Amino acid sequence: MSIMSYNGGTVLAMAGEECVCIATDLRFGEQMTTVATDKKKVHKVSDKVYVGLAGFSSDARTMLEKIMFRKNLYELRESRKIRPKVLGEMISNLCYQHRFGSYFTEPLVAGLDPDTHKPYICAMDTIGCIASPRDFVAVGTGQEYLLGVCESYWRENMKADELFEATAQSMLSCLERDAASGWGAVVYTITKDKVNVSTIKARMD
Amino acid sequence: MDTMRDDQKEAIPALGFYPHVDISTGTTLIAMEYNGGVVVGTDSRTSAGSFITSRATNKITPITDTMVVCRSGSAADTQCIADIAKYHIEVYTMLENEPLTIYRASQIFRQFLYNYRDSLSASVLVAGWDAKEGGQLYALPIGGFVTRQRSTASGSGSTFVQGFLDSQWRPNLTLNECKAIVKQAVGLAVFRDGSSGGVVRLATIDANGTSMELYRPDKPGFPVVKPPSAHLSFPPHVEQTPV
Amino acid sequence: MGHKAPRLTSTGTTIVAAAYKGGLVMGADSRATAGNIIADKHCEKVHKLTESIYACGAGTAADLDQVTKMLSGNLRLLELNTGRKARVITALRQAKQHLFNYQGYIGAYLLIGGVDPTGPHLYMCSANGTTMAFPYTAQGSGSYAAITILERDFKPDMTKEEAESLVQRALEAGMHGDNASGNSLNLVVIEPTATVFKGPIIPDFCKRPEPNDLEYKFNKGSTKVLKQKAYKYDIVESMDISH
Repeated sequence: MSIMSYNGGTVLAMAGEECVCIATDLRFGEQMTTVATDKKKVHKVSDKVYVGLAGFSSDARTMLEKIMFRKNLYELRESRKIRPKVLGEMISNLCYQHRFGSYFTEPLVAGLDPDTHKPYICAMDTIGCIASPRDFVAVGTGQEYLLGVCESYWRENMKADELFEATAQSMLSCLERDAASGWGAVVYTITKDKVNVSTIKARMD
Repeated sequence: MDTMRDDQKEAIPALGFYPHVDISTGTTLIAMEYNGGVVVGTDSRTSAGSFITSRATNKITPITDTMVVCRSGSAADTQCIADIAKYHIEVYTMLENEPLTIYRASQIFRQFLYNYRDSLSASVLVAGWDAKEGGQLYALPIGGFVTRQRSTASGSGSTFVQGFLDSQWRPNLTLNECKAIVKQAVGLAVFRDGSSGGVVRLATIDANGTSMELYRPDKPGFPVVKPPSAHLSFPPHVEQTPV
Repeated sequence: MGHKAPRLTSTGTTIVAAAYKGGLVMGADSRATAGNIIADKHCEKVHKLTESIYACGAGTAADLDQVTKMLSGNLRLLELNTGRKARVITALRQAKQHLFNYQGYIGAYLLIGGVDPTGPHLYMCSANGTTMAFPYTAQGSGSYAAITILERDFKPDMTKEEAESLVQRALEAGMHGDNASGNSLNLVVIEPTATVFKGPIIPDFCKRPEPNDLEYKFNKGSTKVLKQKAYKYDIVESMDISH
């Protein structure tokens, strides 16, 4: 049993036209036992920048605290909002500092550039190797299921509402087959003037 | 779904999984003193497992104008040791304002090979010429033990030619006699040893410095090995014709 | 009892490089894998170290990113401090000493190449600190296929076009024969006067046989939303720091 699937959980991000979606499931388990059903793995870092942390929950929480600390310090030093790409690089370096004893969590960053509204998504492994494609990224126990289904559901230049549907439906498909994720899902749709947080109806088993 | 087994420690190239395959110089190193200096000969094969990483390697590393080191064992370890020892030798040479004796150099190599004996898998031959003792040859196997030898072979190919060298060496060899013996010994070793191969490189070190030579299998001068030919009458039920 | 280590992204890779008359061509595929998953379809494995020195990487992707980042930083500082262009051998030494210190635990297998005032150079640097010089070579899990093409077709003093075509064909062989390589390829042609980057080039056999014409278009509202909340951003007076 890998430590990466001890608690379970999946995060998915998709990029559209001047918008990004980031979705998380809500299950928190200990191997096959479900312990909590309201555990969001997506966290707000700044207005238009969100981070998802899949994997071992204790490490994910420690990591989030370190991320917030570094992000706050950055914004105070630079007197400007952090851009998602900078945050991705920052988290990557944070991960690599622990190269030979890494935190068992795979971070994912999704957001819009605060000035240009250019969408940015990226995922990385436990030691901070960034993969930043233009379409979609997924981390967590349902990664493999998501990457397959998103390959069909993602289209070029989706508007916010189309993107929401594609993200939500991909997540629902993943929850059909991933036993370690489930118990509902939350989708964050980040656009240039607001963030929509939607709890979607999913199977509850 | 993970299809990789936990305990499996074999290389899976398709997954980019390489569990510490050391690049090593499965080697033939031959060296011999003659009346004016010393001759060393090597093959040129470097392999990682069964894959030949390089077929034209130079395993004779110059340290000074009149000293070389022949490396065998882990390529990374021997390259590192050669670099560090060379640095120390250069520093001593500058401080003392005269070239180091080959014996001193061999002791510097020994120091590293002995102090780091648990983490290194390196064995070297230090060969060279100095004004005090003329041509010299020191063998340093894994662990940091030093001996001075008149003729030696080291590396995986050495087992095949130890007897040949014993039968050929005699006092006061001339340069050409010595070169012929060393070259032939490398040829014999390369013929029988699977992890030695490629070209034959010879280095001659005497009062005038080091000169390097190269013999390719596709050019004249490469040592010839003629083993007894096969018995065509065996197995008896198969009819064979000579090629 | 113990836990299995998490799956790291590795660039199960094909990387190829070849020198030609007056220059050097280097290239890589663009697939990054984590176990059997293609983690990144278009990752950049040709890393720029300086204007005329490049490194192609195979092995653990995060290690490659960080090692090449460190190298390019140090080389830039060197160039600024000395007012001269950095040399390929400098990049190589830095890489090998860093990697040797970590005894192979930093899984970076590099091809470092470029043109400097002393001419074109191509080196291989293994994770445990072994280095070798080559006229042409390949690395990564696809190197076995790629090296066959190089061994068959390489000749000294090729033209730029010949070298470029050779590297591309070797890469395509690797991408074809190795599951962990594919998607697209990037090339960089380094000459004393200019460095040209080419890519991504997608070979025909890497293209999807049928384009994704099926429209999975979900009607608005097809996902049932239980709860929804919109967060409008607080409009803070914008700070313009661009001037």
